[in-house]
Amino acid sequence: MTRRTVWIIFVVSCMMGGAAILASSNVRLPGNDIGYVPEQPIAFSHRLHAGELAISCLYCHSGAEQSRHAGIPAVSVCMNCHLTVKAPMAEVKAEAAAATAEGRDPRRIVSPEIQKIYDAMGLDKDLKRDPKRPAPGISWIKVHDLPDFVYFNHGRHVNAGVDCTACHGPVATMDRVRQESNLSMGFCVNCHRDVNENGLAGDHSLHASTDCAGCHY
Amino acid sequence: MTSSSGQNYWMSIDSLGDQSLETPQSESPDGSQPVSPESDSGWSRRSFLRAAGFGGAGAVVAGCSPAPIKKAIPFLVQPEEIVPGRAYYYASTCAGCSAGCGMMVKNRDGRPIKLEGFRGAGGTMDRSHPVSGGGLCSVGQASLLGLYDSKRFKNPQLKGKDSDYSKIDAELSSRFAAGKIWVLTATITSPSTRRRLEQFLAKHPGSEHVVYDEQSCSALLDAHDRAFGQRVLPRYRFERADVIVGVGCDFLGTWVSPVEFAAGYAKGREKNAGETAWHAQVEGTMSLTGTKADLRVVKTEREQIRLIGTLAGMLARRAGVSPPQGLPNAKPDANLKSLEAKLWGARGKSIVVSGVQHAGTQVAVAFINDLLGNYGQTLDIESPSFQRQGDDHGIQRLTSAMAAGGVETLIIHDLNPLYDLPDAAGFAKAMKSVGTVISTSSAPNETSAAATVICPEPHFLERWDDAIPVKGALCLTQPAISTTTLFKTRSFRDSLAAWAGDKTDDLAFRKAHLSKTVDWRAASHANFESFWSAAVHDGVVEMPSKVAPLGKFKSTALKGLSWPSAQAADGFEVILNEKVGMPSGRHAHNAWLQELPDPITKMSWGNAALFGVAAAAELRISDGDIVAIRTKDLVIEIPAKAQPGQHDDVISIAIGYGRSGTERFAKVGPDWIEARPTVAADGVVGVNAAPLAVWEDGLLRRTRMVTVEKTGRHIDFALSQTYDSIDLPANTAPGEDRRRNIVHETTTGALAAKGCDDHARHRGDVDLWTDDHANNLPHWGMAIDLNRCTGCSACVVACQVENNIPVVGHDEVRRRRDMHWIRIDRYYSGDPEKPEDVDVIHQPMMCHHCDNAPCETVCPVLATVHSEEGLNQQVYNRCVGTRYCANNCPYKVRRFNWFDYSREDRLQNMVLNPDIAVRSRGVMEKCSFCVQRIQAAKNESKRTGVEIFDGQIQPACVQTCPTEAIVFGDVKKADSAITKANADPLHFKVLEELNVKPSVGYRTLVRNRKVKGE
Repeated sequence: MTRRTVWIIFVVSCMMGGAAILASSNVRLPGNDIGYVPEQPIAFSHRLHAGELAISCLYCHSGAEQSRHAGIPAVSVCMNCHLTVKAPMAEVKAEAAAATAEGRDPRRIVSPEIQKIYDAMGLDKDLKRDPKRPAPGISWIKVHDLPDFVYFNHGRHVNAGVDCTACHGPVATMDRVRQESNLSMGFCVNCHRDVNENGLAGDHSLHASTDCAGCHY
Repeated sequence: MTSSSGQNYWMSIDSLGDQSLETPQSESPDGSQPVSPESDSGWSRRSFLRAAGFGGAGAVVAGCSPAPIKKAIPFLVQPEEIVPGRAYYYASTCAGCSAGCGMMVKNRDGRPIKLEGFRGAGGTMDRSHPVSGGGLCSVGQASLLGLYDSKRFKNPQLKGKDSDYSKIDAELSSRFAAGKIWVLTATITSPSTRRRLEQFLAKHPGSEHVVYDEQSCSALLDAHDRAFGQRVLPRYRFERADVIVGVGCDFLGTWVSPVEFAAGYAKGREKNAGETAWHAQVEGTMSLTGTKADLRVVKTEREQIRLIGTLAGMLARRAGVSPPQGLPNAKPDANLKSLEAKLWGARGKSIVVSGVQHAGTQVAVAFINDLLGNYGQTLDIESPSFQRQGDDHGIQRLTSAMAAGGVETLIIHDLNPLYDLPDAAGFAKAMKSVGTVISTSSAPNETSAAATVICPEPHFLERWDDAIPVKGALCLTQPAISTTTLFKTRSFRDSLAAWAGDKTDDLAFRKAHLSKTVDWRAASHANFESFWSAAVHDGVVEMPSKVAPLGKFKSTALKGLSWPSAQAADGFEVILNEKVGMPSGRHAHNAWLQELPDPITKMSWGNAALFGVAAAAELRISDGDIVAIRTKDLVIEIPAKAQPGQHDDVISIAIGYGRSGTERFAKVGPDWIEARPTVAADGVVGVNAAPLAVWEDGLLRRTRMVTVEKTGRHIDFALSQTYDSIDLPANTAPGEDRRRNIVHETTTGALAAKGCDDHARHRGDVDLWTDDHANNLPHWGMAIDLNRCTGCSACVVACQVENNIPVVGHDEVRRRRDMHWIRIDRYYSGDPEKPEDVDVIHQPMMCHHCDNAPCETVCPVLATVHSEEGLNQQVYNRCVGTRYCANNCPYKVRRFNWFDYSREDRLQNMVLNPDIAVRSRGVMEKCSFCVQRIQAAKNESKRTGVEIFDGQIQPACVQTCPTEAIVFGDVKKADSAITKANADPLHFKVLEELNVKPSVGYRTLVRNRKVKGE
C-alpha cells in the first residue's frame, strides 16, 4: 500500500464515519423541517377539537376542497362555538357546583386561552365588537411551509380522495401540531408513483402526474 | 404557397445592408470582446473551487436549522366571495382610454392582479361585448400597473401641501363664488358624471364646460355636424365592409377604438371561403394599419388631403352628381383609379375613413361615404359612437378667456394640457391669471404641478362608474378594490357633488339617474333593481335603441373649405403619430408600456424621428444620430431612425414621450458595474413632440413643415428582435435551391392560380426518435392566424402581467436581454431598392414546445424536459443557468435572468401573480403555454366533475387577442379548433425542416391582390 492509498482510505473512512454520526443524530438537510412543532399564540389543541370532539377537518379548513390553500379559519369561525363555549366543561361544572353549595350565582369563567380569541377580535365583556379596542387577529405560526417554487393544490388532492393524514399525519392526536412528513419532492413523487401503480383506495382510474410542471411553474 | 417564392424577408435596414443574417455576430451589442475567463486576479480556477467547496460545506452545516418563522394571519370575518387562494372575477369596463372596452378583473385575496378580455354569461368563450367583443389591448392590459403606482398622490393637496377633503371643500366654496368657473375635461362617456357636472354648472351660472381630447377627432366630429347636423362619430362597422380605404388613420392601432375596429376588421377579412375584404391604406409613415393593407399608397399628409379631394370629385362624376366647387383636382394615377373603381364596385359595402385633422378632408370623406351609400350600412350614425367628443375650438376659447383674465376657477379633469397642447407654454402663461386651478390628476404631472388644489381621482379599478361609449350599450365599471385601501382619493363625481352641496349618496344618485335616462325596460327587466343587478353582474347591458332618422347630406357642407396647394413647401413634413403601446402621454409612467417594443420600429423606452430610408441616406443620418428639428419658432432635438415604408419627405414622431416624472425610470434596470441608466442625467424617457403640432383653422393639426440638421451626437436605441438571426445553414436547407422562409405569405391571385404549394411543408418522413410515449392524455398545441394578427402586441403585455415577467430597462433591452416571453417578429419584404413600398408581416413568436425539443437534449441537469401532455417544461429550481438550451433553441425564445430584477417597490409587487414563481438570478425561463391556467382548469374539472371543453383553457395571449388570431387546445381531439386549424392547407410550421416537431403553427398570410401594387 502506498502512502497515497492509506491516505485515501483514511479520508473515505472519516467521511463514512461522519455520515453515520450525522445520520444517527438530529441533523437534517436544509429545507427539511420534519418534526417542527412551533409554539402557537393560542394553545389550540387539535387533539381536543379534531380528536375528542371529532369536528371535521373541513369545518375549519374549508378551503381544502376548493382552493389551493386549506386555509386557516377566520376568527369568526372560532366564535361560532366559542360565543357560548368559554371554558372547559369541568371548570364550568365545578364552578356551578361550588356556587350551588355557597348559594350564589355562578361566576363567569373564561379560560385565558379563549380570552385570546376575544382579544384578537376586539370584543368586549359581552362579546360585542368594541370599535375602540384593537382587533389584531391571530398571528398563527405556519407549520407546513413549501418553498415558493412549488405549487401544491389542496383541492386537487382532497377531491381525488387523498386523506388529510396522508401528509399531515395523525393531527387528531396532536395537542400542538407537528410537521409529520418531510414534504420533500421524494415524498410527493413516491405517493404519485404509488397511486399510478396501485391506485388510491382501490380506485385505479386516477392518474397522478409526475410531470415537473405539475408542481413547478 | 408560392409566396415564399423568391420573397426575401429582412428584419431591419442594417441586416439588409450587409446581409449579416448569415454572418455570425458578436454577442455583445457594441461588438466588444468577452472578458477572458482566466483573468489575472491571483485566483486560479482550482483554488477558487477549493475555497468554494469548503464554503459550500459550511453553508450546508449552517443550514441545518428549522426554517425562519413565518406567520399566517387569517381574516377576522371572511368575506363571502373570498376563498384564500381562489381567483374571482368582476365584469367591468376599461378606462385606459375612452373606447369603453369590456373586461374581467381577476382578483386574488382582495387585490386585482390581472385584467382580462370580456367574457359574457354564456361561458368562457362568450366574446359578446357590444364594443370590444372579447379582446383587450396592450394599454388596457398594462393599465393595471397604474393602480399600484407608488408615485400617485396619497392625499388631496392644497397649495402643494397634503390636506383633507373637508378643508379643501370649505376653502373652495368661497372661491367658487368669486367668479367665473371653467371646467376642462376629456371626453366623458359616463352619463352620471355628465349629470353631476350639469348640476354643478347649473349651480354656478355663467360657468362653462370645455371638452378636449389629446387624440383629437374634432375635424371628423365637425364634419358630421356640418354635413348631417349631428356632432357625433359614426360607428365604423368594419366587419360589414368589402372595401376599406384608410387615409392617415391608424384604426387598427391607436385610433378611437382599436380593439373594436380590429375585431371587426378581422371578421371582415374572413368572409365566405376565399372571400376577403380589400384594404387600401394611404399614409405617410408605416402604421400598424398600413402593415395589413393590400394596397399601400405612400403620400405626405398634404398629398393625402389632395387625394381625398380628387377622389371625391371622381366619384361624384361617376355617380352623375356635379362635383362641388373648389375640390382639388389632381391628375389621377393608377392607384387613385384603382381606389375609385373598387369603391364604386362596393357601394354600400365600403368604408372610407381618415384621421387627418383637416376640415375639408373630413367633409369630403363624409361626402364620399354618402355618395357610396355607406351611411346606414357600414357607417352607423343612427346609433353613433361617443368615444370622442372633444372640440378643438373650445380649448382655444378657454385660452383666450384666461388670457383676458375672465376665468376665476379652472377645474381640469382627466387631462394634462400643459404637456400635450402644442402651445403649452402659452396655456401655462394664461393660466397664471386664473385664481384657482383644480386638478383631478391621480399622479403628479405637468398640469398638477401648476394647480392650487389637487383632488386625486381613484384608479378605475377603485371606483364605480358607468359609460355609454356607443349608443345602446350601458357599460358599468365596478371597484375591484376599495377607493381608500391604497390612497385617499375621491372620484370627480363625488367632488362635484360635494362642491354642488348635494349630499345624495353616489350609488343612489347613479341609480336614480340611470333609471330615468336609460331605457331599461327595453332590456326586458321587470323592475330597475333586477336590471341593475344584472348590469353589475354582466358589466354591460345592450338596449335596443330607437333609431333616429338619418339627416340628408347637406351639399352646402363642402362650400368654403380650404385645400392645400399642389406645390410642396420646402423641407420635411413632420407627422405626429402614436405608438401602439403609448397612444398618449397618459400612460408614460407605466413601465410595462415603456418596455413594450413598438411593433413597427421594435423600439422600447423612447421615441425617435423616423425618416424615409432614402432621405436618411441622403442626409447621412444613421440610426441613433440626434437631429435638430427646426421650425421658425422652436427646435427639438431627437434621435433619428430610418423607417422602411415611410415617405421620403415625411418625418414621423410618436407623441406621448418626454413626460415629466419619467426620470423615475433612471434606475429601472439591474444595478451592476456596466449598467447605463435608462434615463440620462436630468432627462426623461423620450422627447415630447407635442409642440410641433399647430392650430390651423381652429383645429389641432399634427403636421407642419420643418427643417432638419444633424447635431453630431448619437444615442443607442433599445431595439429588440434585430438580433438572434434565425436563418438556415445551407446544409440543412431542403434539397432544392429555394429555401423555406420563416414567414409565409401568398396572394389571393397566386392561391387561385396555383393553390397551395407544398414546398413550404416538410414531409418529416425520417425520424431518429421513436414515438414511445403514447398515452391518452391531451397534447397541447397552438395555431396563430397571420391574417388575423395585426401585431397590436396586446398578447405581449398580457403575458408579462400573467407570468410575472420583469421590466429590465433600456440598457438591458439594448444588450438584447429583454425578458418578454412573446415577441412579435416583424419582417419586411419587397424590393430593397424601393424601401417605400415594403410589405410588413407580423409573426408572434414564443416557445414552440417542440416534441423533439433541441433545448431538452442539451440541458446537463434536466431542468428542461418534456411533459406527458406535450409541454416543454422549464423547471426553475433545477436550472443552473448553463444557457445551453437558449443556444440550441432554433426559435430563440428562451430568456435568461441575468440579474435579480428589482422588486423593491413593495406596492408594485402587489400586482404579482401568486400562482407563478418569481424567478431568481441565473435561471432560464420561457413561455409555458400558461401551464398554471391548464392546471387551474384541471383543478376545476376535478372538483366539479365537468370535463374540460375545447377552448376552455385560454393562455393569457389567447384570452386577450382582439382578433382571436390565436387558437389553443388539444391536438389529439379530432373536433377541436386547433385540430381544424392544423388541417388548414395554409397552415405551416416555422423551421419544420429541422424536424423539431413544434406544437405551434401559423396560418399563411394571404394578401388580397393579384400582384403587388394592385
